[in-house]
Amino acid sequence: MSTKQALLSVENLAVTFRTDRGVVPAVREFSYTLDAGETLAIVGESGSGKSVGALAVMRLINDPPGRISEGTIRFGNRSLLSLPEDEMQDIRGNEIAMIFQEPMTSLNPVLTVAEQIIEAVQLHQNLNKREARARALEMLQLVQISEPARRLNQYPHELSGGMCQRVMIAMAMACTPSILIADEPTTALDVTIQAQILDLMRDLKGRLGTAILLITHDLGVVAEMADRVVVIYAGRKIEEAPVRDLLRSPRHPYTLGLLGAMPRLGAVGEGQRLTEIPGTVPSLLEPITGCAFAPRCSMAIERCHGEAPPLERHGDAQHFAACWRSGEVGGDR
Amino acid sequence: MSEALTVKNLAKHFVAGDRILDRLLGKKPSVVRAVDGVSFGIAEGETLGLVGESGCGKSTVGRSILRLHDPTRGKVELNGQDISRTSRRALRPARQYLQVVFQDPFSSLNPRRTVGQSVAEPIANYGLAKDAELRAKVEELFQRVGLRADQVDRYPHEFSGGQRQRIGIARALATRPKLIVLDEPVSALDVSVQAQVINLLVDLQQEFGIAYLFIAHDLAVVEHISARVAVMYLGKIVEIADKKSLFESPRHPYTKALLSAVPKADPDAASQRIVLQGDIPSPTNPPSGCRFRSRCPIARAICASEEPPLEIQASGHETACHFAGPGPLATSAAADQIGR
Repeated sequence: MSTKQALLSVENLAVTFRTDRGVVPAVREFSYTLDAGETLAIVGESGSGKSVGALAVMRLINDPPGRISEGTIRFGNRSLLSLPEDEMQDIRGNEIAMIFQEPMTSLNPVLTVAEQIIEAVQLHQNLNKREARARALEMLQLVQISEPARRLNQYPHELSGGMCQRVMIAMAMACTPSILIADEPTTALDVTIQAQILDLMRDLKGRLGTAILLITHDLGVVAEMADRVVVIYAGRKIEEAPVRDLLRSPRHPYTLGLLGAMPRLGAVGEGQRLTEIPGTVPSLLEPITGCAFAPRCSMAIERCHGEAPPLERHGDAQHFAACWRSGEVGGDR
Repeated sequence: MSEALTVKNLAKHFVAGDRILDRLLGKKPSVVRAVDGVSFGIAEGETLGLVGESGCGKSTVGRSILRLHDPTRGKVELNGQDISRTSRRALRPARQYLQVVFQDPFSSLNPRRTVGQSVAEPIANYGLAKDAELRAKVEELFQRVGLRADQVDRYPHEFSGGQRQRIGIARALATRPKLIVLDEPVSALDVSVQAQVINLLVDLQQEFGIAYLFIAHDLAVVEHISARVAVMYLGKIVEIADKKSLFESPRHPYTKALLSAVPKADPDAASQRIVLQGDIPSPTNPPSGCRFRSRCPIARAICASEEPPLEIQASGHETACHFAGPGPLATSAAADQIGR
């Protein structure tokens, strides 16, 4: 995985949350790397730990109740988890920026668009107010918002969801970060607006060379955006592969199940049933022995319930899966 | 085939900003034309999918049918009886045959009552069973939707999202309805659980012959479950057709754009995406003529002046567009763009 020097490398990350009912290990033994200019998708369902795995990079886990209990996060040659807070502040929003699912609630409702972008720019760059405002306008033009000059003086409530997400992206890209973390950036948007935002992200990545860490539950979005994919289940990485390998020949029964459970546009299969994954995601409050997916897995054997499978490479490709029977999974789709 | 539900020219307008202060200041209230004249029928045991983006009025259609809103005009006929204006009291018998499942199963169950009580309520309400028989009926319903009979005495918070949606479905089934309005019933669920609920809905329809009005924004889900599909934009149906016809040869430019915008989980999917410009206009002040013209890549002068009616294009396929046609959408820059 980490052969050459990656832009970002997360190793053996563990994050726990203290709750009234006990300590929840949100992610465990979680490792991934992100190269300059690539898009890595982290895919999982609610509660899988996909957002926590990315928020940890920004050190945005509230302590308490959350705690990064293990692991290292390297960004270039800096170790993010041991940096003093002021140095982390310099990285956050400047070298690593983030956009969220709810653009409406992520923007400050009492500040105009210009004020918010100017604040972000002035925090990291030595520009005066006038220069920062010019930069804000330039950014709004870059994200192809309609009537950019007028938008500068508007408040978030005057903008649509799609426009708010463009403003968020403008703000995130204002300091030309080398990494953009996008946490479900289009989940709250309508499909025609989602198409606009995905196009924009691809365009900006191509022009500015920003690496994107994309957190999503939507395998359709993954297929369109990602170069590589990490699948996470119950806080652990269970599969990692280049996007084509993952979608064409998944090696983990969970990934295969997700693909089968998704209705596909254009597959007008009359009366055809979707493949169900029985049961629900396990509670992380209970200790998990063996493979976390075993209770829902149609391929599970005795060993799966007793012993957690390690992540293993398949063939000579960069395809890894954590399943005792991954050699028998799927075949080509 | 007789129709379980017939909707004729249904409209629902909301008046916004009609406060005393506004009146004193001489401000005119603005009217939100959430639904502005839609017509369709659903045959017994059939599923009609109703799709569209936020604010297109699809949920308002569902709520107006259920009389959670009183329609501004138009007719809603359930088994031949118009229920759009009947009094609440006269509506009661009709409501036995008309049920609903909402998107968020948590907020639609009373947290202080056991889920068994919530499912028993409509049965008792219509006097369909009582005492031991009532309990047996509830337990049977639980088993039918994939829950255990011993779970009836638990409270909503003890269930996962998918299980709560099963409870919502059990409650809707309880009165043996002819039609269930399903308003985004699987949108809040994870993919793996969503498939379970969709399969359950399909099974129940086959077993009980219930008609569904399936309201959703997810086109793949709608394609999977529906027999016919209606596409809404700004309060109007722009296209309605058999599923196969609609998804394989859409004729309205909006439907084409909508279908092309869905990301496909296939690395080799030919991506000929039509990216629509701009946002959906406000329903308080919709564009003149065709409401889609302000975002339409093929709009011409006539689109601004004349509203295109829904017209039959092919067998069972109606489209409201002056330039409707099969085949790919020619995003002709050469097209006369007056009125955009």
